[in-house]
Amino acid sequence: MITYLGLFDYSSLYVLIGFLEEVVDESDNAGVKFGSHVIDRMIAIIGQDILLPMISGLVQQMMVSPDWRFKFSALMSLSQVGEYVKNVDDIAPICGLVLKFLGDNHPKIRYAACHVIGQIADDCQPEFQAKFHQDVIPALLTHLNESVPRVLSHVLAALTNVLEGLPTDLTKNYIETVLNTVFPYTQQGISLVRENALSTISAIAESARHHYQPYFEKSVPIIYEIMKTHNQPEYKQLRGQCIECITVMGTAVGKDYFKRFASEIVDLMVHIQKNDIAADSLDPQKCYILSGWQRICLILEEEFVPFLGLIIPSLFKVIEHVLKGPAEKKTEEVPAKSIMDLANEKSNKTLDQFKESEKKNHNTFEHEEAEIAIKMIFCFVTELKKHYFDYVESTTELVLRALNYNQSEKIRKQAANCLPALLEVIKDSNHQGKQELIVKLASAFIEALWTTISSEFEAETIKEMIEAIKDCINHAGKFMNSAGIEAISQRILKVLSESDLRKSENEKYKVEGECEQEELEVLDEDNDTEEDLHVALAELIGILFKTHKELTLPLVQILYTQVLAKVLQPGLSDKMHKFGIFLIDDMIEHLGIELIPNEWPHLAEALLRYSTDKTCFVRQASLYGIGVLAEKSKDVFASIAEPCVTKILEALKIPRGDESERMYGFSRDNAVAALGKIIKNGGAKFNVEMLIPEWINQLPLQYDKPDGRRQHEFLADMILTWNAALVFGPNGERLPKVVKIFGTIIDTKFSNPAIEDKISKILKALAGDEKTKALLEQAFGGLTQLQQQRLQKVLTRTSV
Amino acid sequence: MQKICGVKEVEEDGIKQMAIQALISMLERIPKIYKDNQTYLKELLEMTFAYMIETAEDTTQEWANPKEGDYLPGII
Repeated sequence: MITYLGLFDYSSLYVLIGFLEEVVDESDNAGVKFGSHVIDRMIAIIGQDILLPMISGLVQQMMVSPDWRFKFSALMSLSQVGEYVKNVDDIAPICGLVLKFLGDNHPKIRYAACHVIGQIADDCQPEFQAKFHQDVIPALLTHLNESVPRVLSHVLAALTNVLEGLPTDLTKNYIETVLNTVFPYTQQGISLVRENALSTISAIAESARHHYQPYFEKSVPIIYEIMKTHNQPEYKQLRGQCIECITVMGTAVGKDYFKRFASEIVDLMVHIQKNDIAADSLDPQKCYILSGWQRICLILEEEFVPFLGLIIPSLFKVIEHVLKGPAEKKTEEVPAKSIMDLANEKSNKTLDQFKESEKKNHNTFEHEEAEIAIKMIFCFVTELKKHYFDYVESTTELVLRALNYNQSEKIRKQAANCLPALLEVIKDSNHQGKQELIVKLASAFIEALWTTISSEFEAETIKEMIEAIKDCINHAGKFMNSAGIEAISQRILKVLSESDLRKSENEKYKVEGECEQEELEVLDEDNDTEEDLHVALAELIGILFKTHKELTLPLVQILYTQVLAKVLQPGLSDKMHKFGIFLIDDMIEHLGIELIPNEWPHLAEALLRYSTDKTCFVRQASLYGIGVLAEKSKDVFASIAEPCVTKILEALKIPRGDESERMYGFSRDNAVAALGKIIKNGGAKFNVEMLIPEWINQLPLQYDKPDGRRQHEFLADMILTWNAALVFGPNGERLPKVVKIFGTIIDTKFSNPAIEDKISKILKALAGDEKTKALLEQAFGGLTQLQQQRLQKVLTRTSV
Repeated sequence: MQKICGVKEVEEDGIKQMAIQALISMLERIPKIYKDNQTYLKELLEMTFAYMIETAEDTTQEWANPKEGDYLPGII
């Protein structure tokens, strides 16, 4: 952290640490920064309710002092407050006070005032911006006449933070003024001021989005000129920020605007990449260029393909440089060094030792670059799909080597991510014999991933590798024989048991190790990650069920007899229960009850037990399973239909509590969908008249889009082909509700043209009958204007 | 710790920072001590502010006008 920067001169490392978020380069204010950090820690630990009134009292006393240092320290301490303010209205007095100090006589006080505004704007966005933009933005623009360059750059930095969180509809009113005021600073003054001016332009473009279009054409040549003319070594950062600015603007305005300049910009970036950056140098331009390529790819989509040939070789070079480097020969990972570590090393070690530690950090920096380069490749692969086909072979070779790179787990994780994406490229291509190629590569990828997993010890890394294996199998489909399934099953069970072992060792250590609070938290986090790994394994097993059906039955037996009973015990964690329920859901969904005739009744019992669990994600998985069971078991479902319906209705009554609205919504949607599936599959014919009103009452689905479309289409089908009277109820009492459901889903992702065609038929039929026409008109009266418009649109259209 | 922070000449060795750091470590490990006795909190805040005031450095030419190519991250 920033606290100990005063202990050594770190100025030579600024480029290296320039991308680390927590570093604040304020060597001359080390004491003040230390104090601010202390105050931050105090609020975090003790709580704002106790600390903020105390700080406020002391700050007020300090503000009246004639000594500038009192005001400066008071202001700097206020910059820590934003993170802890619950209601943005509480900032109003601070905001009013701080703005006054923008015009103070002392530069450090003006600087501190900017710091407070910038920090609070960042901590409290977008509420701060929405509430105070009219006061803050004009004030900062006025103070751009600042005479001290360091303070001027801080005014721009504060303005950047305010603009970054400004909602688009508010930003559009400031574009012209901000550009007219700030653009001159990109061309005059010291480099620090120019860099901050570029950041401000990037921020307004990003917030303005398409409203920036009219300004794009005028902005590009100015920035392009800065890039071309500032080619001295001291302007590397400035050039990097030009690249960022121009590509951020491109993202804001979109392809049609950006492509007019694309060729010129790409050429210049390639030129910088080839001629201005040495592979082994700590050059800030590298990261800006890599992020720039990603933005350009996302802007141009398939039109980015012609540039690939220019860009890919340099990306490969960045990765190759790391893979071939001396670090590869080492056997132990070099952990990333924090500034604190560096500070301690500097103070405790000899110069030679310090140089050695700098060398290690040099490697860390290169690792970060290589990681970003692989991320770029992943972006190209996923964005360009079949257009990337020509590079699949060379990328595969490189990525497999990166997967085996023992010096950085981040690089290995990124490489693992790329593998299934490469299979998707082949799948999307027109290559003849692509299925054979996919199977061949998938087998090789999966083998490589298992080999890497065997030497991994971090659950998080293993989890990502397992997810990559799952995606590879999903792309390849059924390609293994029973021996292959047996082998993969053994590997899965081995990872599962090793994860269990790590978990129990952690638990044991917690009891016996006399751990301090921090250690306990770390152990709990580790166990949480182990449980995430369990869930990833359940998903992998699910894909095996889906793709290899009966070949997986030996694995089903092991899971049924050795795993499920253990993980579904009541006292275990929610994630372990989710892991077990996922396994059951996948068994029923992909194998059907025919392949597990003796097991499914017991599995259904578990689903019922957890369908009213207090935790949303456990409940959601169980309710989903009940719905699938209703679909898959059909006739035999009648025997368990009644308890299922009872449990679903019980689940629907559980209040949200502390769960997130989204999670709760998904859980609720799965309960409603399960009811619909039971009605549809006739498992509960005996009480269908009671179920339909309950089901309709809970519609429409609001979170689960695919299930939503299925349920809403089923509603339309029921009216058209099954029993409209049952849906609408006696005297059409449910007709207003049904019409409201339709009015809510039309033109959203919870509907589609086929559903809307059916709705159109229903509405026309209702409007065509004198009796129902009156009911329909009455129902329209209770709808919002938007719902009415949607229904009118569907009602007047011709059937497809 | 208050005594250490109250002496004017000791800051060259970073002793005052260490004194405050020691109190913060105590607060991190046993917050109850401070929660139960809020005078300690106020005193720690006062010591911290006093340290900030004492170490605040006036504007220099170097600070006001960083040389070309010097990079300083924005407000983060």
